[in-house]
Amino acid sequence: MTTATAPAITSPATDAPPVAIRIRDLDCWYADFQALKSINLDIPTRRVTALLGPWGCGKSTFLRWLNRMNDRIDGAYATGTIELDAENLLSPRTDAVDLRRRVGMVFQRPNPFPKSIRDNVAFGPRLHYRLGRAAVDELVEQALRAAALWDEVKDRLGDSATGLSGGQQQRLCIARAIALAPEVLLMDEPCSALDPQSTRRIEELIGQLRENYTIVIVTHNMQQAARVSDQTAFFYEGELIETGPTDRLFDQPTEKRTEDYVKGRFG
Amino acid sequence: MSRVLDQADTRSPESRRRVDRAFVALCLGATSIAILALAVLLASIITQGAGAIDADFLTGRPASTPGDAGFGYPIVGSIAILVVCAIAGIPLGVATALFLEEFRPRSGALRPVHGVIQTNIRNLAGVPSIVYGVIGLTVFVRVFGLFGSPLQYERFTEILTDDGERIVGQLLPRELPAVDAFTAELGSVPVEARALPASIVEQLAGGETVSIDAAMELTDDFLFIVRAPELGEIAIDAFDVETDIGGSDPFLSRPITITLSAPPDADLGAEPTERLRTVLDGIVEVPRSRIADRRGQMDAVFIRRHRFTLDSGERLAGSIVGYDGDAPRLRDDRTGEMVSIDPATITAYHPDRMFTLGDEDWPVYIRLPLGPSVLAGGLTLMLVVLPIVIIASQEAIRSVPESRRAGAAALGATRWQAVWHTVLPGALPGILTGSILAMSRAIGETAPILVVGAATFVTIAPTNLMSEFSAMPLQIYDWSKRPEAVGFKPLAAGGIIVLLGVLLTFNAFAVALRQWLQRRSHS
Repeated sequence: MTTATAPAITSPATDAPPVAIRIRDLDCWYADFQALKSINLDIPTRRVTALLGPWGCGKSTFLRWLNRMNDRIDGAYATGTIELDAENLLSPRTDAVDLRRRVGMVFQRPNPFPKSIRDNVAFGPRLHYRLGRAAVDELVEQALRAAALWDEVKDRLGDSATGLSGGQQQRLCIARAIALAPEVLLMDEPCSALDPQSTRRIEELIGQLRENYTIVIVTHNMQQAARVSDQTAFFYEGELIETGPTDRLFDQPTEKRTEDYVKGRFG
Repeated sequence: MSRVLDQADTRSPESRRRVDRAFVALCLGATSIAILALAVLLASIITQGAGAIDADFLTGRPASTPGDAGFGYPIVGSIAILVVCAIAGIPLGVATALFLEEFRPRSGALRPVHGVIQTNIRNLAGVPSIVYGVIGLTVFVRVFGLFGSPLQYERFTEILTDDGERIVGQLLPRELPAVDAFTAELGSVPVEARALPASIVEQLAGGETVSIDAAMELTDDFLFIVRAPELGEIAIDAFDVETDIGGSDPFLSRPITITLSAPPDADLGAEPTERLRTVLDGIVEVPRSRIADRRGQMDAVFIRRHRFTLDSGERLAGSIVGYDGDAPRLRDDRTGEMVSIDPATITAYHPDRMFTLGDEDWPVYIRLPLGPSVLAGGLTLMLVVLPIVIIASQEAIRSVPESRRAGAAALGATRWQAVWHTVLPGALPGILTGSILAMSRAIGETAPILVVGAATFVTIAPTNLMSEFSAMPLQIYDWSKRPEAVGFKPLAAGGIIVLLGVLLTFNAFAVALRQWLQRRSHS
């Protein structure tokens, strides 16, 4: 956790925030199947970008290119550019391991390691840094506080993470991701396995994290996209149909397919 | 739809239940047969062998007489080869499983290699273990002959005579006393017997008729030949442990009584002697009456082989057993004769190439070729269980949820970090259980170590990796195939009980370990 200074909170309406990730002409294939077709998208810094669309539309595939998690899938490849800090993430020269330190990820289902809460949060930092006990303690506390979990677990940091409730586990996974102080946080339907109460807490947390992190969240839940995001990108059958400020996209979609989807006519 | 069902014949509930009950009965019957067979087997083994197990049995050394024979060295030998097997096999197996599961090549030349390895491991798991024994013999015992032939293992006997002389040498087959043609009765088969213990010879000389029990007879250390027209000539020699007649002679596998009487004109011959080929002085004969103490076959010495080329062009190879002044005394490998070589005639001398690592006093001592040693035996067993360890580890690794690997990867873990911190801890219970079960398979293997050349009669416990060894199943096999099986049968049964006990302990430990690890990872 390096951010000591409070970030300036800017209103999306007034001045446009700088672009954190710039995606140009992204095509992606799984062997012969083209999963993404010519995607162009700017992801603004310290905003929440929601990727919306029905099942199988390519939104998760898109998300997994942002930290090259698709490298782990046999036969997956992509062309085009994904620029983060003026560096093309798709370049073979980009080190995926170091990239994932800068771009954190939270998965659909909470996936804490069967280790203590403390070791879960310290897992990422320990992979990349040599840390003393005091430094680990500090990092763990900061990350758990930032993930709004500290008060619930501070007395049992040594307990196994698998004993936490689903919602707590997901917040632990968020703490685990932000313990590395990433620039970008990717969330792949982070609430789909959670009850409404836990979902609400995660959504509140996203609202808080937005101040420090660029967040990209995949969801097929329109209400959730409307609640948490500043910008929404609507994917359909591998294409990016429409993107814009969330309010505008929901109220006045320009594309017929977007309108049909947000009005609940399909999906 | 309901109209179709209304028109159809109903299956009566009673007949369905009858079939159900019949099937349950069938399954129960099949299970009962298996359980019953096992119970009968166990009961018979336990009744036969329980009496044999005592402290002496568990710590004793092998002996040619049932009363003295113990199971201690085979137990130690089995443990020794198992330790080698585990230390070599588990890391190798787990590493292979990790390569196959976690580091599978995505592209390039290695990809077909991966497929070939995977297929072969599946196939290797079904290969009979004796095949691994043959591989072990070539690869480990002989090391493809790259380092010469394995050193021969020679047994030495130490004899102390009544006048205090100490003779060390190798026991040779005894000279037969010049006793000939006793008539004897073996059942209804007329037999001739020669070379009898002095005590019996005395009795016979006194005109007595002596009844001897063939099995008991072997407790005395004499060559005993039964010649029967129907049976051919059978030599039973308590000294020569390799004598195998149990299989060929049905009469001698059960207690038989031979009734002997000496013909009036029999020459009852000379006193039996011990013949020794001593290290320095050729063959010595020691009358038994002069032997005060004998430490038979106690010490073993490896004799290194040497090759000489002489100026006559003759080549000699053998072991140097001593020196006549400067002249090495060589026991020729081909003829077995002692040859004294005049140093002046030697034009070339080649000691066998020999690679050694460490010192004989240390447990870790390695000499190439490995010979029929603890190390070779352990590595051969490793070959047998390696496919099992690999497959069990692969299953365990595969059972670790993919989400953990993804979680670690998303935090920037390299593949190895993800494996070390998340996959291995998750797979450990399965890997350990699989490994322990593989080890319990290894401890029961007989064929491969028999091929490798494990001894059935070791006189020293293994002290280092190059030591000769025996193993529990091999000793049991040896005991049960002996001609004098009557005496050794309880020992074999006792050995089986010990082996079963060890196996059950292993399996219980595996179960306990799995449960403990699972509880720990869930708490």
